[in-house]
Amino acid sequence: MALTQPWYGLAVLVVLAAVGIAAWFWPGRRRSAAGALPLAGAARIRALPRFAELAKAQLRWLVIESCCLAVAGAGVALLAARPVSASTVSEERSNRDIVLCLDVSGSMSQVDRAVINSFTDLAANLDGERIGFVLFDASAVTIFPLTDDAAYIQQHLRETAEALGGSQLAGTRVGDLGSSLIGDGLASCLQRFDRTDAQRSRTVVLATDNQVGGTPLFSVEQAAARAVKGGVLVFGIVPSDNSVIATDDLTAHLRPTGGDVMLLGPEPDLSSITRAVEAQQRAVMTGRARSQSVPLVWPGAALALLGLAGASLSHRRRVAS
Amino acid sequence: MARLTRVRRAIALATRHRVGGLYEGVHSSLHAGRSMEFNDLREYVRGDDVAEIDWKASARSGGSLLVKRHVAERRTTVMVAVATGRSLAGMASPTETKLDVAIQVAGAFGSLATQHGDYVGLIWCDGHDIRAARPSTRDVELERMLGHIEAASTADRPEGDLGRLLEVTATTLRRRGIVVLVCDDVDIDADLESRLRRLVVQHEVMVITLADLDPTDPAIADSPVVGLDDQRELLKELRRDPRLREAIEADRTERAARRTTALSRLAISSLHLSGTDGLVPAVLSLVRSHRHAR
Repeated sequence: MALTQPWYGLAVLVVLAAVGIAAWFWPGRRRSAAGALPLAGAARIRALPRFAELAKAQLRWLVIESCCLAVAGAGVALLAARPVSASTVSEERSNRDIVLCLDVSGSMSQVDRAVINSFTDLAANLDGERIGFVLFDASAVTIFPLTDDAAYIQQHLRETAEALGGSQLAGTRVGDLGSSLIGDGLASCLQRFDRTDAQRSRTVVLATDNQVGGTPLFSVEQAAARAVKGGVLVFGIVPSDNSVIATDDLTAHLRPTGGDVMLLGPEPDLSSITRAVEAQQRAVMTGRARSQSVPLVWPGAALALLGLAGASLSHRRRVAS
Repeated sequence: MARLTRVRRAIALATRHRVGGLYEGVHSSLHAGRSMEFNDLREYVRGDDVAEIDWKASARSGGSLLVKRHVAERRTTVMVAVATGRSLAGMASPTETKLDVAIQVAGAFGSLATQHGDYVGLIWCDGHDIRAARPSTRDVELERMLGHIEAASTADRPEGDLGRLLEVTATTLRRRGIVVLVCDDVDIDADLESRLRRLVVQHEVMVITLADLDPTDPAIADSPVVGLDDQRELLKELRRDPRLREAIEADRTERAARRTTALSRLAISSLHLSGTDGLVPAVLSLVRSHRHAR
């Protein structure tokens, strides 16, 4: 919460305090009103225990009433200061496109489920982005195109994880070029970005073991070059027990895009992926953050109403007693 | 003469049917014999009241001024001692101040006395001083005395000193007379009692106490009430409390009981007044009961 007009609030406070002090020290306040009946034995009446009791109760309610009025005044001052709930809305979030790219070749079948789980967590942690999901082996299949419907994303990731149980997924073995064509898969994933304007940040999260089993149309290097050209960051996720040569090769190709390669162990460290994606994105979209302020009326209004209600209650209680 | 006229009117209304009794009222008890011879005259000496001169007898006697001696000797002095001060500016009832009541009662006693040809004197508190007006039989003087009471009872005056008032009264009035003490709704403490005892030995004493307004009276629930001593308001909210009303009533009753006990111990007739309504009949019956008591 921030105050847009703190001086107004301060001015209201000062004015209220001045009014209160003026009312307290107003010369006519203690003097008898016109037509007051003078009473000679007042001291005798004030000395009565019952009077002291009543006066004490009166004072108590008066103090409560004053406190409530002070609270109400503070509420009014708060309203006058026009509080807003300032939140930094990061524009890049809604401008992020992430394509999750999963190699479903036989060599990856051991870790696919873990990868999808990590994708699920990734999708849950990133919000506001558009996420697409592509499976590839010899050919690429789009499970869902770029979308920001979180429920839809979660549902399809879950369904895909169930469908991965051993059998081949339809459409991933089209053609006779071989299997596990990483370069072709990456190139297909790059095609999934529907908007190519400079305002958007584009990321591919490529989960693969980099074990090519055929003759791809695009080598990984060529695909990575296309990614660089299109301004797409490519992150690699590699099983931790993958061969070092293949991993290093992938890393060497993906580094130029600005991405990196992470190892996916049996206990996948999802936060590192999320962090990496988010950090990368933030770096890309730095300076796009815009602060958004929504008027915050209820705290002041609630204080004022509460104070007034309390004051009127205690006033009635005081006058009635 | 406005004040006195008002008193006289009240007396006339109250005594329309018993004028005969009125003239015996004030001090017949002082004088057992009422059958003094009328033609007991003596020569005028300096100091005698000029009004006492029997002009016809003087004319007949050829040269010397004769005064009606018995009348002169029978005259007594009614000394009205009023504890004037700030507290008389307070209200006795929702419509009358205690000053109204004090003037009315002083005027009633004075009027009864002057109509009977007695001297009326006044002792009152003027600020911190005690002042005395010379006893007189004249209405003009009586009116002036009532004016003194009124002038000395404004809200900016200090409280009257009752003890000193009684002390000065005892020393001022040397001859045996009647002392009418008009004071607040006071408690009679030991000091006051000893002073009153001294007065009682010397004079006939009657005590008139003036009631204070009851601030819890429902009739004045909506009008503000301000204490004279501290100038602070007694809040309406507090005055509405029925238990406070009971407490005030109990306090007042207790004080009245204590006072009555003390005064009856001293054989002093007393009267508690809370307004001018029925004041004159009350005064007359006080005088009458006082006479019977001796």
